[in-house]
Amino acid sequence: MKIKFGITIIICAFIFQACKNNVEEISEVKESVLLPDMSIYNLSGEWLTQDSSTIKLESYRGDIVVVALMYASCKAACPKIISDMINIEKNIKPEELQKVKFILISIDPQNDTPLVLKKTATEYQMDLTRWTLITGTESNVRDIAAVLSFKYKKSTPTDFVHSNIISVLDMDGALAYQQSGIESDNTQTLNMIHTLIAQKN
Amino acid sequence: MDNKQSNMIMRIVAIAILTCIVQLSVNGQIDAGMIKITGGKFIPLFGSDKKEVIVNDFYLDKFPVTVGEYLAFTETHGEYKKTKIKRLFAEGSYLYNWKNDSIPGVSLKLPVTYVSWFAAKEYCECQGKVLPTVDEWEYVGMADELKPDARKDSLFTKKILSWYEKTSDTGKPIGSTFKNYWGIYDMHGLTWEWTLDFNSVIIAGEGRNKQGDKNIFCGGGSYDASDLSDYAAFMRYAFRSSLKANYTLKNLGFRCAKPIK
Repeated sequence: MKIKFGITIIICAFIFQACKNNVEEISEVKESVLLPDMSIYNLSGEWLTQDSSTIKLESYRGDIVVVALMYASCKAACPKIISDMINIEKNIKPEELQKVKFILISIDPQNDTPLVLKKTATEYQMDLTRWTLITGTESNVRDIAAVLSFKYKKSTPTDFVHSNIISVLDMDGALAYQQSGIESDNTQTLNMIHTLIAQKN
Repeated sequence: MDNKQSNMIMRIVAIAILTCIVQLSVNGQIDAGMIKITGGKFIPLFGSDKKEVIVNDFYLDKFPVTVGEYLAFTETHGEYKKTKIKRLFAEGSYLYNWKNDSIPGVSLKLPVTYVSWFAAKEYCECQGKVLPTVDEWEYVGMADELKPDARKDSLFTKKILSWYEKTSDTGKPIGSTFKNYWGIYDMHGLTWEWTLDFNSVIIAGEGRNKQGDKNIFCGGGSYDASDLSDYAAFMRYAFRSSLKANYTLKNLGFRCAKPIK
């Protein structure tokens, strides 16, 4: 009798397993060195690079990051955003450049596979020791767009209406500066990057 | 086995079965607080070149999420408590009207407000649900008490606009405004509500760049309002486009949806 009673209680206990997934996540966060509250690396989603490696954004911690959202088949604005970023890259002093990383995040995961991104990287002759092009789930894209105040909407199966923003993250992944518009004056952005590098030293 | 013991077993089995049903509800197999919305087509106020969009059948919460429901969520998700949430995910006024982490100090039947998009999204995901998209919300929001599409009814539009004009009349519990054609309460007259893709609302003319909009929004020129007489909807879209994901506001709450597979 007592055994039957005990088993029923145990069954009851198992039935009470509802939404407890996040309890485990909290202890995971405590194990790594705590990220500042405003760090974008608090988004812990996984991404695929142009070389099909899996990364988390937190792996950029320690570097200054220049990041933009785009999609490979974008004909108008994205090429200009990319050339703005390349221009920024060219204007950073060589000794400072090793502390800066450039990331492009695709808002079109359906079409922008690692292979497509690799093609884009090759087209622009990007130095992949500094540049990474990444693709992820729609949910991850939505989250990163949300923290960067980046607006986007799919207008046709291959096109998007979207903001044009280049963001600079400090070495802990907090948003330090944003440059809006395309073919903008990169001066402020360059100044910010220089300041952040100076702070790092 | 004597009577007393068998009664005890019966009671425990009954509790176990009841618990099962409750847990299944929480996990979304049976959604008591949701109503099935039959999908359809409509031209949203802001869309792609005034094209019709298709809304598939989906479930929508009958009421906005309440303070009581959100409190229960924070008990199992401590990182969403008032003083624990990260600033990235909610600005400083998160749960501003709550007394502290464990005590709201306001009626549990109020729609929960001062919650960010991240918080609302997490709450829904925890229930096996999602935030409704702008199209889904508008599809249900265009219904009045009697018909699914009341956008041409100027009295209905005026009624909604008169609510928008009132200075934040908060303090009303869920269910205190009207029940629409679908049986959904409080789509208008209680709080604004978060949507999953609020950041897809790009209204031409909001850029402040001296060079003009063409540099701020690629392709934004095709986004004109499809019907300027629906000023109430226009205000909702304008409101959405002013939001950032970590904002928390006195009159901004949410409800959850669930796609039908």
